[in-house]
Amino acid sequence: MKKKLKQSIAVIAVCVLVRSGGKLLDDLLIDDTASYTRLMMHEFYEQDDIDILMVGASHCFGGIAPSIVEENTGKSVFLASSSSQPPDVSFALIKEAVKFYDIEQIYLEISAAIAVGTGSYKERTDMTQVYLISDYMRPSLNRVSLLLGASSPEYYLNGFWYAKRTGVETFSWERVASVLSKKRTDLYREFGYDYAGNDHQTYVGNGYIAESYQIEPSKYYNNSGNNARIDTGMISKDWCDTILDMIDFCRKKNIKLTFYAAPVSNFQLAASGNYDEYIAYVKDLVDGKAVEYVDFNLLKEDYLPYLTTNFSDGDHLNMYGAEAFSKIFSDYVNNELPREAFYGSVREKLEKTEPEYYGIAYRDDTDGQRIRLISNHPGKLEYKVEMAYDDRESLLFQDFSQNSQLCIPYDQLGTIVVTYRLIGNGEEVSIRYDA
Amino acid sequence: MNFVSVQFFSVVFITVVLYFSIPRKYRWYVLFASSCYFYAVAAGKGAVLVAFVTISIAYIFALWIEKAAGDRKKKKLYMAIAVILIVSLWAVLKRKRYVPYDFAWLVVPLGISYYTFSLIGYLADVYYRKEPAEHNILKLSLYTLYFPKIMQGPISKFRFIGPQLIEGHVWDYQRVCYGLQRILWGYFKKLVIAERAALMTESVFHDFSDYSGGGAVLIVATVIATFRHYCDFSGYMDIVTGISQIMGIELEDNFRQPFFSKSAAEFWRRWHITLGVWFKDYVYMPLAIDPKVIRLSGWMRARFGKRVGKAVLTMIPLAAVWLLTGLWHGTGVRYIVWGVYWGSIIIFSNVFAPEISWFTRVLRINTESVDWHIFQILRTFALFMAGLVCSTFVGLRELKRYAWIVIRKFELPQLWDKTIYSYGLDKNNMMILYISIVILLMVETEQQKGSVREKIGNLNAVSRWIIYAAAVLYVAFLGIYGPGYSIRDFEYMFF
Repeated sequence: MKKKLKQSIAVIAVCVLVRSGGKLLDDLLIDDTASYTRLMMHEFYEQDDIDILMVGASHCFGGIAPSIVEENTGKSVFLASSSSQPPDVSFALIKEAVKFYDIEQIYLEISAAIAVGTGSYKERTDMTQVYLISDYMRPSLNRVSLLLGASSPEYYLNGFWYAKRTGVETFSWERVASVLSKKRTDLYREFGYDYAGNDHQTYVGNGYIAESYQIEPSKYYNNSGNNARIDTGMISKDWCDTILDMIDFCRKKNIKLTFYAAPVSNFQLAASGNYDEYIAYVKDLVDGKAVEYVDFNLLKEDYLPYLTTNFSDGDHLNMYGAEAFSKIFSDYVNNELPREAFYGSVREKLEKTEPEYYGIAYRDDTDGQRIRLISNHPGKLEYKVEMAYDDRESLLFQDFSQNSQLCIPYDQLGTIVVTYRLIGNGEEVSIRYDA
Repeated sequence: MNFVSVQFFSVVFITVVLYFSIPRKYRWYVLFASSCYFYAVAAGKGAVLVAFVTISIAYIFALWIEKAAGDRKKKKLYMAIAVILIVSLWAVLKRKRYVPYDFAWLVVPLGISYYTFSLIGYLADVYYRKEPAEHNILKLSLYTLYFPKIMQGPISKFRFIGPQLIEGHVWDYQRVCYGLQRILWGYFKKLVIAERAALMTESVFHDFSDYSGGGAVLIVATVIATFRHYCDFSGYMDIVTGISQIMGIELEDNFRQPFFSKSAAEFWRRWHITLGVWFKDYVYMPLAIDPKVIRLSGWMRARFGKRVGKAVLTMIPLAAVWLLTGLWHGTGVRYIVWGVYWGSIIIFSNVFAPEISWFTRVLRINTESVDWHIFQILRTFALFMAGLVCSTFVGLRELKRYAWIVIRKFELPQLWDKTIYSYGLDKNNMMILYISIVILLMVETEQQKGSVREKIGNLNAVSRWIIYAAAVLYVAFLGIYGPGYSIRDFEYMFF
């Protein structure tokens, strides 16, 4: 008996030493001193209570100001969201929240980009979106289950041991010293920093990241990788299964679950051209499951006026947009938003809006940059496209014409100047895009 | 099945748990089942079929050989047929490109050379009445397919490993600890050294015609390739020996610090020991006592003197052994050259031993001095490196280019002007590789003097725990595996 006790102590001691050594390496090698999810997850576990939990990707953490919703609804709100958060991570966060809080309502933001881009979990090669959250989850079976289900087995160790991810290639004593000095600051230890990715973003609290950057009207100039048609055939089985599992889980826990899509720019909606197919796909998926799906892209301008300056890019609301949307969202939570507030489809919405030119969606190709001039009424606008240079004369690529697609050879790429007007008697407006 | 995969660890874990969970007399069934599963997953169902055909041949003929004990001619006939059948199957599958028939539907089964040799050894032992024939085909199958050794050996004798496999061993904490330590040491060799070394050696040797560096970097790459070769093979042996040790099964050692050998002959007594023993028992000895060889030796003695007669008696079996050893590794000129290379060195040092001894006396070399021993060790290492270069390159043109770069384009500064870091390993990884090789050599130096595990075991508890934990962290953190890396198959797996 004594011998067995000694042996057990030895095994435990070695395990503890291995774990401690691993943790020490994590502390020395992992630089998370600017991690916003570290702040968010710390707050997540420190809440008194959460009535409304919102999960999802950047449309969630940058699109809702919890203080406004709290003020308008009288309920405590927390955004447990992170960049490109896939549904398995959202589900793990839901389970985690349910363990600690008495959740009344859950809102899951299901943006088309995440739905199409999630793929099969077992074929994941980039685990960043999972680690953003799992690294700060408390040890639990829920965390283990997330990490084991989120990837193929070769990623398992990296999921639990952060230092293993860095590889020795990046090791240097200078880096270790820098990481240690940053981790010794009060800002880090007391979760006092508010940096959240770039100079325009600030972590405000309760999971909300305020983005101050504003797009200028008609100035969208986006890689069309983000603005291409939505291929619902790309939506993976794993994505659908997780959505259905969430529905099942919330039903069993008697929690109201709502799927929502935060507003994206009209540029984005017009550029994709088939957003309605995505809406139909999601509606079909949740049909008969007793959950709501509300797409705020269908909101009429009377309720949420469309302003380019409310966006930081084609896809994301900025802090001004978030404030405006949060008020509308509060009305929805309070059941004060009538059905008439929504159009039946994005197509209808774009058609009923005054003709407007939004900007350029481009794609780099072998023979040059392919550009698409995006508007809500392609048949009602005509465009002149010129290329301006600092060191030579401008080049006219297209005089006024309805054609909205061009290929510009790379050696002729300069400052694109698009002049547009309504066909017939429209006023000419010129927009310059510094490439 | 990758040795660094959840699947492999699961098979081992479940086997060990089941093994110690059921009554002792049934434990070998667990080994049999897990071995079949392991081999089917790792090699495919076709390979299992081929293995069972080979086992059935050995099983049936061993029984017939045993029955025909009194009839020497019959016994010899059975033995010959069995060996021809087994070797033919091995040859057809392994060298199928030389057979005028499309065998594309058949793959070369993993470990076929290992179990073929094991079964021929078993038949020979039954033939020479060193052991009785096994009457239970499942037990013979377990001996052949036992999962830790099926892919790369060791080539164990049935009478050594068979009873151990069948006997149900009891749980022994100390033995389990030793097993785990051995496994960890194996992973250290495989993941920290061999896999890291492979990044550089593949960068240099894989497309050697594109290699643009100098001779100095090439020499370093060759030294690293040598350590890779050793750590890959011996690392596997440590892992499978450790797994077996946990269950109370002691496999033969296949390596005994070969890089401390002072001669080629000693090197081959320390490297792939069980293959050497097999060739000694079943090729060298039968040839050395073969009446025809003895008659030839006597005839040569009578015509050219005593020394020549004795040399013939050594040369013929050694030449046969090395030619077959070369062919065992693979067909093609490079393997024959490799066999001839080692055979020549060993025969030369054997036949001309008196002259070599005279030479050292003339040069007044103190053959007992440490300097001379170090020189001998380095010389043997260099010989092994040269042999490895021979077997690495497919053609003479590449060998010539290798020699030309080393002699005419040495460019020593490339070792410190960062050029060396452009061949698969950056500075940090190169440092880790150097440090790990030093650790390897230090531990092997200690192993020469005695058991390192026992030395660690004699330390106080806290020191022991710290050493174990540090070793686990070292291997787990610095091992080359996981996302972005594809663990290479063990080099000897396909022999």
